[in-house]
Amino acid sequence: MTEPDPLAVLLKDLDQPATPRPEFAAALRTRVLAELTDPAGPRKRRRVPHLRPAGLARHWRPVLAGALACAVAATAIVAVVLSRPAPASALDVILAARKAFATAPPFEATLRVALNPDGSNPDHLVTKGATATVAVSYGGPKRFRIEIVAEQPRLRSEDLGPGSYEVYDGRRIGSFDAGRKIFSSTAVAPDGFSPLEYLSWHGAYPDWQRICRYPGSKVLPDARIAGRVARHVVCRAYTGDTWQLWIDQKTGLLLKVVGQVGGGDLFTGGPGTSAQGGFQVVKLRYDPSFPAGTFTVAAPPGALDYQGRLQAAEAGVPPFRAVVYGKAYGRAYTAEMWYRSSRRWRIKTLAGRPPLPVRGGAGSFAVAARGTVTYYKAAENSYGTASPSASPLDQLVPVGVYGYSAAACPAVGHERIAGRDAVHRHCASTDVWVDRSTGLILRQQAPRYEFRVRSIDYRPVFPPGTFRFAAPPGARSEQQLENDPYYKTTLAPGKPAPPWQATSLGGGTFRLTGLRGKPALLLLFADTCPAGDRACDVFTSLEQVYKEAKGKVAILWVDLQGRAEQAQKIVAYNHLTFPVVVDTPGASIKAWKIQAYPYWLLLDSRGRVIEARLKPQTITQLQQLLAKAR
Amino acid sequence: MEMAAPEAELALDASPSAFGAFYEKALPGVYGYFLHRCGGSAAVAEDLTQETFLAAVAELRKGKLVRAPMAWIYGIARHKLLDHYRRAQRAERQVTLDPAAEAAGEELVVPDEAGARDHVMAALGAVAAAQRAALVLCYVDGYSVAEAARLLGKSAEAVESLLARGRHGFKRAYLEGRT
Repeated sequence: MTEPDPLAVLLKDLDQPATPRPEFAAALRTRVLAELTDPAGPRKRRRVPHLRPAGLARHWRPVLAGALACAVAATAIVAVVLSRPAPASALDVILAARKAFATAPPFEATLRVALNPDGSNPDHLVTKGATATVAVSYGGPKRFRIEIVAEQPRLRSEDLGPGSYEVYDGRRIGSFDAGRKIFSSTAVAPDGFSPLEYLSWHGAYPDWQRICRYPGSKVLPDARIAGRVARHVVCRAYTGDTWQLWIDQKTGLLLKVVGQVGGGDLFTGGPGTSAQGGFQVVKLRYDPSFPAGTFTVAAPPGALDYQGRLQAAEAGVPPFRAVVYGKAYGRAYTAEMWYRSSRRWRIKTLAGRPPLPVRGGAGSFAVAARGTVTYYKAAENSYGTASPSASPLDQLVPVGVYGYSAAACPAVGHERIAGRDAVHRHCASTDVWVDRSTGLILRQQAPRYEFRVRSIDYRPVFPPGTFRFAAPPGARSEQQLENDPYYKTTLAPGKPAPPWQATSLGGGTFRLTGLRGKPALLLLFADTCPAGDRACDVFTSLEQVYKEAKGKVAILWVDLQGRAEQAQKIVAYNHLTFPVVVDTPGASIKAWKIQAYPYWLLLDSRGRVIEARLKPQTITQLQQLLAKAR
Repeated sequence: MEMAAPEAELALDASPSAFGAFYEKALPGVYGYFLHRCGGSAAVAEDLTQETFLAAVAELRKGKLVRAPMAWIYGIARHKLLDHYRRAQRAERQVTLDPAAEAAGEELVVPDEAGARDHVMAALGAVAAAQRAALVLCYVDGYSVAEAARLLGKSAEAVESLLARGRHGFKRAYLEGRT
């Protein structure tokens, strides 16, 4: 045996976690969580998956897809009584439930989640037989709470765990981590959040209507679950994966699911279930009297509520206009702010790239009004919406400074800054200069962080239109950019498509250049497309036009970053006959830089782009596309 | 090459609660990943950690459902690190290096006392960015020379050269730091 290389041993020892500064961790956490509430709602197509690291254990990959939804569907009460005689198909059952969901009555339900009944859960932390218990309180579309009641055995050592919950009051979503005693909350745009979205019939993802229409889905004889008569359906996805659903005959409640379910949907915060796992409602009550505070979005006693403190501080800030300079993480910026309230403000980048909510360099701006934050990126001449929780004030209120308090940061002097009297306070890791009369930060200095107000006018006269967003001429919306199949790609009509190569399903090397000689239609699509997503509806139409083309046009599916066994499974289950290329390394993505799938590309006989399209295409649409082949 | 094995993987989407839990779990690893590969510079590590998580959030907000979030976040981190190395390499091009200098005579010994990691980080931070990139990719992340060459956009021969010079520079800096 050879001696280990000492240098390699030394360097390998570096591969260790490290604890960052608490203020950095807290600030970044606040920032990323504020970013996550997407008022635009779910997208209708999937993004191109990130490159999977080579060597990644395959068993981490999906099985669940559509089951994500089924978990929460468990809690979804559907008011409509599924009428007899029994619907003829699983799809009929789902359609009836979906139609009824809008009138779901308030309820309380306790779910028992079977994480690993058969020992096949790939998560090594989930022992065979592990369970979790989750309580759901549903008070209507604007009141919702889900809480971890128990885990057996305990799934994690530190975070979340029993007592952790998520609550929604129609305006804000709050999350409490009982393990760490941390509470965080974020504002939600109107219609930006629907309780049970992932768990119900009405959610855009997954869409049981799509899953349960695939061949092999069917209705089985009624059964008794939890003392109730339940409709029993089996649904199979395009991947061949199966879920069994038991739906309360009288109420439409999904009483039981067998199939892989995502842990996040049930707020267990941990792993999903095995394919033989699932959940079952063990206790249920309609129209209950919810205890006071059930739907209150507020930190429990003793919890750290960083965002709550920020909001309280912002409420006392007078209107102002200011020019600020900052330097964070090595990047300097200058910005102009107009601030009337936490819900009405405007910020414009004068130089550099300020922290969010402005997302671009000079000329970029963001406006908050009517609960919506809209931003404009000058470099791209594009605009979109940001989290309504985004605020330019985070840097201007002392409570936003980690560890700040009058006691912890004693006054050590006075200074004139931007024409204002400022009290200089020295904290353990930073110095802060606070406006004596308004309490706003006029300057802050810390290692690797610098902030200074260059000018500020309180209670100014705001010009008309200050808090109204108007996109500059020619600007395109995020939606428009996403719908542009050539956006950020290396493809352009009339230009040769850059070459790449991958492996054909069944063996052999596929080279794009090998298609030359006749037109070609390529479908770029990932076999990980989650079942129930509209984006996954691509194979029926492709198979149809493949048969019609009769070899006059080369037609194939490129499985983006896929794996042969999954592609083979899909081919067999859907009886597909067109050729498949398994592009495991993602060579096509690298060469063409496509941004989303499904992506359709029609090439001429010389390999030049005729037309590219995004989103699923109907047979007619594909026929029209192929008519352009030459 | 294999990224850090995930402890508990669940699909990750743009749910704030799910991401909040994931953030708490992933932050020390991601921060440590950068800190130890950038010569112990907390400023650089914070900068790259921030870039990594914001890039992750941006992807999730576009509707991405991540099957293996830990591997995914490390994938983003690796790209950020390589970008950082490339930037640093450009900045260092004006510096004349001395690749011909002979290695110090002492042999490297793997110490076991506390604080040894700090010396290793400092020594790693002392070598040129391109050499540091080669050392990290090959010795810390476990890439082959060919894989490292592809990631760095260089030939295998160039990476071998960087490794040789990097080993020399690291050894010299490490031994100097220990005396």
